[in-house]
Amino acid sequence: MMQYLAHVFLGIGSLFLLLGSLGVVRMPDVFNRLQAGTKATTLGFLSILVGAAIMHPLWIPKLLIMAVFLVVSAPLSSHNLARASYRAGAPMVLTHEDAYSEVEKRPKEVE
Amino acid sequence: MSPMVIWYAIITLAVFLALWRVYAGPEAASRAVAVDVMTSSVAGIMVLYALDMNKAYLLDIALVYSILAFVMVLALARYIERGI
Repeated sequence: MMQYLAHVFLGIGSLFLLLGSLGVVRMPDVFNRLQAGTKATTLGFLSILVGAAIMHPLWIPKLLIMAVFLVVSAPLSSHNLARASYRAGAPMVLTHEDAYSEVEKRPKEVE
Repeated sequence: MSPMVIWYAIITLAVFLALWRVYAGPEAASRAVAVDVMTSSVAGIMVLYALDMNKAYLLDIALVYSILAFVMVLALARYIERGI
């Protein structure tokens, strides 16, 4: 019974990882790809950790450390990539209003 | 056939899909995003492998790999912004 529930969580996790990389392939813009990649893979990996915790309850301290690290590190890395590509002048598709341009001058767009 | 093989196959497909974006991203940041997705998926495969082999020390490899991937993405972002 617990094995069945654990496999459900593992399946959801792997499907979300697949959907995340599918979003990275299909999105038209760097910033959209960042959103798809970060959100979906964070959720998928956390779901895999939950499934592993259900299968082996003795491993919960180690899985908890990994989950906390993932929740802390994924927004940091995506924020840094977004700010770096904004300053490097990546083209913005489908954006009507640039709210960040009030804080920082948008450099000239490349290609 | 255990259900683990299906999860392995799905995540492997995810890794190869993101690999295409590494080839065809017009910007450097797209390639960085794709590599980040690939490393997260491979860390998921490492956790699945630890479940298969039923050994707890294999989880440490996934943790160290996640830490290294995080530092790598920060270094890539710094390079995109201002060069080496």
